[in-house]
Parts: sequence; C-alpha cells; structure tokens
Amino acid sequence: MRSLVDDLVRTPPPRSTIALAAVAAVLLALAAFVSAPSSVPRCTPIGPPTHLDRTPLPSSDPIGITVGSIDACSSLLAVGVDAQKRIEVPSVHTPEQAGWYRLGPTPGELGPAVVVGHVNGDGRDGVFADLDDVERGDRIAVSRRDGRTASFTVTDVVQADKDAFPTTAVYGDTRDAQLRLITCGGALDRSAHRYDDNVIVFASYDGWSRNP
Amino acid sequence: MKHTIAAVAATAVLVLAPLGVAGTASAQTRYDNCQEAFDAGVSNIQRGEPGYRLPLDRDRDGVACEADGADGGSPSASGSGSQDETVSSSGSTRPDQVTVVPEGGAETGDGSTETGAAPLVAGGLLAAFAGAFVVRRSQAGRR
Repeated sequence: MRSLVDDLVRTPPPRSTIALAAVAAVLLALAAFVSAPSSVPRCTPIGPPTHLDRTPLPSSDPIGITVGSIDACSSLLAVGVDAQKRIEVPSVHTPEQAGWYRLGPTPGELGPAVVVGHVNGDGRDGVFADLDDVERGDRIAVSRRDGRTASFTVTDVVQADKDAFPTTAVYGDTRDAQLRLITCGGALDRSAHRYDDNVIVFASYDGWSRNP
Repeated sequence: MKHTIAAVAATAVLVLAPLGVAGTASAQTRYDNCQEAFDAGVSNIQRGEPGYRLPLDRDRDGVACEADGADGGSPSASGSGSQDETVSSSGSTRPDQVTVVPEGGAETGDGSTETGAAPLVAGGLLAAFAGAFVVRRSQAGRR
C-alpha cells in the first residue's frame, strides 16, 4: 500500500494539490505555534516547602501566586468588597491578574485566605482558565512580603451555583491556615456575559520556603 | 478589669501549676472570649470545668479555647501586649478571621473565550482538508 507521501512524490502534483499542501503546512505551523505555550511552562516551578510546619504564619501581605498543575501564576492585587458587599475582582480587561481578598487573613495566616481570578475576559483566557482541572493533592505557592512562600495542598475542588454560594465553607473561620481560589464556571448566560457557577479550590497550608 | 482577671489567673497559674493548665481556671472565672483566656494563660478548658462556656467552644467538641486556635483567638499572641487586636467585639461565636464576609459568589469571567464560531470554522477546515486528501488518494489509485 502506497503512502500519501509516495502519491505526492511520484505523481506530478496538480496545482491544487500543491496549494492544499501549502495551506496544510501553514495550518500545521500555526497549530504548533498555538500549542507551544502548554509545553513550555510560563510559571516558575514550585517544589515542596523546605519548612514542613503547619503552624500558621504571622500576617504578611501576599505578592504572587502559582498553581503548578495548571501553570497559572500572577501577582496579587488587594481587593475588597463593592457597595453591594460583593467581593471585588480585578478588571475583566486584565483577566491574567489575580486578586487577594484583603478583608480576610493573609495566605499562611490562621483562617481562610481568599484569592479570586478570572476564567476569561476580553476574549482572552484568564489566570484561572483551567482552575477546574486542579485536583486534590496539587500544590499552590503564595509568595509573601515577609520573604516567605507559603505552600498549600489542594484538599477539594467544588463547583457551586453563585445563588447558593457556600459562604461559610469559603469564608468561615478555620482551625488552621487555609487558602481558597475562586473563579467562574458552569453555564454561561451569554446575554449577561455571566456564569451561573463558581469553581472553588480549597487548600491547606503545609509549610513555607524562602521566596525564590 | 481585664488586668485584674489576668492577675488573678496568673496567680492561679502559679499556685495551681501542678494541676495542669486546664485546671487553673478558678470557680469565679468567666472569659468573655478565648483571647482573654489565652492572655490569662488558660487554654483547653474541658466541658464541666470552670470557665467552660459553649460560646468559647466554637467547634463544639467539648474543649473550649483550644490551644490550636480552633475556637478562635490566638494563643501565640498572648503576652505580646496586643491582646485587643484579635478580640472580636461580637463575641467568639461569629466568624472573625474574615472581617467582612462578602455576599454571594465572585464575578470572574465574561464568557468571551467560550466555544463559539471559531472552533467550528477550524473543524470545518480540517474536515475539508481530510476530504480533499481522500479525493486525491482515490484519484491516484485509479491511475
């Protein structure tokens, strides 16, 4: 059985075949270009903490966050609440930017520290575009102003209706240092440009390293 | 007032040290919150012991003002002189680690990268190319 390549080489290719091959080559090149970022990590890899100690750290504002398994990383913008007491998020026009909820604990401190990030915005993937791919056991690192990088291990990933948001589970007091990552998910209301659900990652603090 | 309680408790700690920390709460002791207990050097108050109150046992496990912070307050901060910092005026039954609990979820996306026309066009192009190659092959085979 002759291969496709044989066909192309042995028979004088008609012009249309050449054109097709050219377009195919361009497409292949494009595909390679588009898929390249997933093979070359954008974020600095994170390892296990050098100081394995679950004792909560003192308060220190966070600087940046990395979720290793989905190659997501961002600096952290401090966000609060709006007039309706809803949590603020970084501008949808900068979907790559994650935000830390400043009216709660700092990551590594006792309690539930909260980080929000867009799934998408302005036609681009957001920092947490792949947050629903995060699995239990995945590692999250948050660098802090005090020179420590707090390390967290994912304990749970849930998807919840925004109208039945698990407020207590997310924002309620905890007995150790915790981290929650929040983004959008579920069905999209196209007219309102709004998702019905939130994807929430729950993680537990398990130690720290010096900032890289 | 707080200082008096602290002093009394501190004295109690000295006198009753052999009985263990949990036994140091005297019969008259009432702590408004766990930070106050910690500042007085008291933690892990068992149910039935003086000083135990349900509002101080947030996780309802029968041990109030646990040293690991499970019931609120911060035992490690005791003695640092910053006791008022973590004392919640609302009592220790309400969450206080997050000072303002937001309402509802987060608006984190506008759906602008959702599956729309673009992937369909790409898929159509792929199908067209596949079809073209099949036609080429069958023509070549006939030659």
